[in-house]
Amino acid sequence: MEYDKLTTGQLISDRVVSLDADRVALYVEAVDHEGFLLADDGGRLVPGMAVAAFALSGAINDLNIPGGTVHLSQEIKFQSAVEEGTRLDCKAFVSKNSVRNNWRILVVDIQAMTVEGTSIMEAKSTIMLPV
Amino acid sequence: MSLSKGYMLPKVEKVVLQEKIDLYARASGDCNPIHIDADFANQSQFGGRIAHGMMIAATLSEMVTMVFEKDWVDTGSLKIRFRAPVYPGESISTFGEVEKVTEMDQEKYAVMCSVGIRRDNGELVISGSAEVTVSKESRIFE
Repeated sequence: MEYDKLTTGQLISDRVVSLDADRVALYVEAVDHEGFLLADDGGRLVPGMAVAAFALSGAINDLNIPGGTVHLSQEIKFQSAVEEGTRLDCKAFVSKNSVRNNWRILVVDIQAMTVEGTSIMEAKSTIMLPV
Repeated sequence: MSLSKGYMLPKVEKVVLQEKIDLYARASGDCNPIHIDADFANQSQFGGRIAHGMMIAATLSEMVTMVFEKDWVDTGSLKIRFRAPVYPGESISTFGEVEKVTEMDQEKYAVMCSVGIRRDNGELVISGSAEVTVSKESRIFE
């Protein structure tokens, strides 16, 4: 990946992420989260940070981020709760690309929507890659 | 509970274990070797494996969810900086305080909280803010 050629607004990831119960359960076990919020129909809601984590990792993998990349900051805006089993369309765009002191600072905007078009989450991730 | 400026969010404490970091890598799909490969991580600037920042941040979200419940996943926003790495075996605890409650309209308030996470020695590992929109009829304003 030629990171110096990434331009503002460039689409770098476009994936469908499935919030499978098994994957969500693995996430919940990993973060030692107790209990689930329930939707009005009794379905289990996916923790917001799980949605963020799954959407972010898709972008990281498509960027082929090198080992040693550091996560500097994170902004997340939750827009709608979502139940297990939902499929999300997750897109990631380059927001900013700069070099400072032998490190590349990449800011990535992430959008997650249901495949039916309901906005679930927007996020902005700032990461630092070795140049 | 009656939510107003100065209200302290409940503290959530965790011990970060390498097995949980490995699980998080599998669940999230983030397999950066800095988190899971001891040989790689030992040679890095961190001197060893560290937890994913988003894994640690999940504890913040858990704290906020305890107070705001579904309003958090429907309307919440989080702005955080990762200030220091967390190593397996370390204990972390969250902190949060309501800084501002603003009337948005006849039905809702916007609640802004300062939030963060410290390790056992008091060092800040995450700092930031969380905002959420809450109905005036919510039990948290009783």
